[in-house]
Amino acid sequence: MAESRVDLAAMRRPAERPAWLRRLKNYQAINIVIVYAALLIVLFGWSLIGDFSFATTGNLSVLARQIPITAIAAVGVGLLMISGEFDISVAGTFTLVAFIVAITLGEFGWALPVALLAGLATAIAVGAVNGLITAWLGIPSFIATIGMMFFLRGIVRFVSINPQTNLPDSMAFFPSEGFKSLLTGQIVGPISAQFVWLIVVGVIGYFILNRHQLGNHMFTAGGNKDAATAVGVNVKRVKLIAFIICAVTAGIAGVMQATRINEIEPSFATLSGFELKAIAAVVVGGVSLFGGRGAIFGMIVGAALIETVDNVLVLVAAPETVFKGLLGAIIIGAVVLNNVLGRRAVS
Amino acid sequence: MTETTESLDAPAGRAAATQQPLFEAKGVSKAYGHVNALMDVDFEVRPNEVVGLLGDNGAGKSTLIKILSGVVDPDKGTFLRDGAPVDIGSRRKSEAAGIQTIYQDIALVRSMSIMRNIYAGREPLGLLGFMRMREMRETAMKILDEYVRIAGITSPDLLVEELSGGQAQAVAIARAVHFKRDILLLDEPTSALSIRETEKVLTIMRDLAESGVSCVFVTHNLYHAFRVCDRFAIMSHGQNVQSVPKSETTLNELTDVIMTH
Ligand SMILES: Nc1ncnc2c1ncn2[C@@H]1O[C@H](COP(=O)(O)OP(=O)(O)OP(=O)(O)O)[C@@H](O)[C@H]1O
Ligand SMILES: [Mg+2]
Repeated sequence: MAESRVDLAAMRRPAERPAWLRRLKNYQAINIVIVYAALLIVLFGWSLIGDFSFATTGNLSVLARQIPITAIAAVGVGLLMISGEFDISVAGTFTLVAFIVAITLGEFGWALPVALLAGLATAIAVGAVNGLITAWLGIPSFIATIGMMFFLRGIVRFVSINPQTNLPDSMAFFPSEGFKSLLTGQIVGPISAQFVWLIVVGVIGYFILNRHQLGNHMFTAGGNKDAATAVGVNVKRVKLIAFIICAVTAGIAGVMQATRINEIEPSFATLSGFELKAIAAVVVGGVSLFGGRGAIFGMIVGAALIETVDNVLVLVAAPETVFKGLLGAIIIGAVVLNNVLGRRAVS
Repeated sequence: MTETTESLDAPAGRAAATQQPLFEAKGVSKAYGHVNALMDVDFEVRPNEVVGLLGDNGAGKSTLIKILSGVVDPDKGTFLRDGAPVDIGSRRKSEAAGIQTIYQDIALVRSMSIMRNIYAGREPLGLLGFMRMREMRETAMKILDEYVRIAGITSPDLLVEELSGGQAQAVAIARAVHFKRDILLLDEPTSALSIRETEKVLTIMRDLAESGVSCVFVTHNLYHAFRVCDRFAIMSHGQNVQSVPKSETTLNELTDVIMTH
């Protein structure tokens, strides 16, 4: 037997590739980084030689402020998708949580931390209900969260009623200056506080997904539900937690957006297509629509790419519907590419 | 190595039969819709034995294995560990009762690395639930080398989907053998293995039984069963047919019993 050990050890060596090469090859986000870099080169080139206002300081700083908001929500959507589930209700959660914070702060006069806790509780409740319906009642999350989407639209409509007109109306949101600069203030050049928060969320997301037991259970539950059960992973619990994380990141994004523009628009829950944006971002970023595969960095770059495409379409004055159509095409294209380009996954 | 009926058995006549069973399942029933996968089945595992669980396709062997592993809920049935009632209603509870399983469908996550698969559900944890990655990486390879040393598994970072069927099966075997407690259930563990690896697994079963880990060996290969098992439990159409010690039967007789039911 000692003999065969020696043989096998010898056989092992030639097959071994350098570790960095293996890592790079297995690195899921590599495609999306290349695609996004190419897109940026084209856009900057076009701005240099043509009459195109993409690479202006003004536009770039708008973009740099918007990307983190979408990317933070995308991290939650991506973790959930790796766990094997969808959330179609994130635009509703985004809007409702912002409204709850604004109302409890502005109308009820609650202290900001308490108002934020109310927003957090709302997000957790939405995520928990999504998770319970999906994991315990066995309703596919696609259906369950569409139901939640309509439910949240109704609630947003209700809480946004303007007593004067009796119609849903946008609401002003003016938290303290300190909070505003902490959450969305400018730091240097186009770098804003929300960019730093995105890094914080990204790092936390990375450590949860790749270094924490919860992440291993997310990959296991999303990759093969039966195998997960067979090794004692509590699939229901993992999915419930993933739904809650998803709702909380959507809520954080909502509050961030409201703080940035000092306003919340009820129609964001219905017309923004934000849930599609977030799903497109993570799928473009290499997360498998079928669960079990994905990386945080890919989700973030995916969000940047989707927001950049949106930005360009606004610059060229394309009608809003073009973006929605393109989003659909991007999702389908990315799913196909993810399948064709092979299945990079978790090491 | 050629197919042989030469026994790997320990010296005959161990007094296993008179001892208290290590584990007992009594009156186990399970229906899938109108298919009665198990009907009032009794099964026991004795100390220091390899018991062969035999029967035709669809006899209910895997269903029984999954129930004992806590991943399928029986409709009916009681379970005793060392004579005392025990709850095996979830994988964790079954594991606490000493049961570890190599599943017929292997139960690996294809999109995950070997290392993550080996530790899925029992990650070594450090502070705040973070995994001890270095320890996982170091022991994963050791575990693989120790039990079913198989060519082509070059790194614990390989994805299971990059492995052949036999390599994947070797990972599943190594995982279960490493984390074994008192009883190891093996549901057709060698179906994808080469002759050499199969021999290794048969030897492992014998060694485990000697060292106090009883094995339940599900197989369609009666030669293998006859070589390693101390006793045979035969099932047909979801029911017990008989339980017979190796000393009281022959390979031909076993074949007859299985064929005629
Ligand atoms: N999840 C399930 N859903 C429906 N029917 C099932 C399920 N699992 C098993 N069965 C049925 O229960 C019966 C017993 O199946 P089981 O897998 O236990 O057989 P087995 O003895 O392991 O067969 P094999 O030797 O082919 O592996 C079969 O009729 C099978 O079709
Ligand atoms: Mg079977």
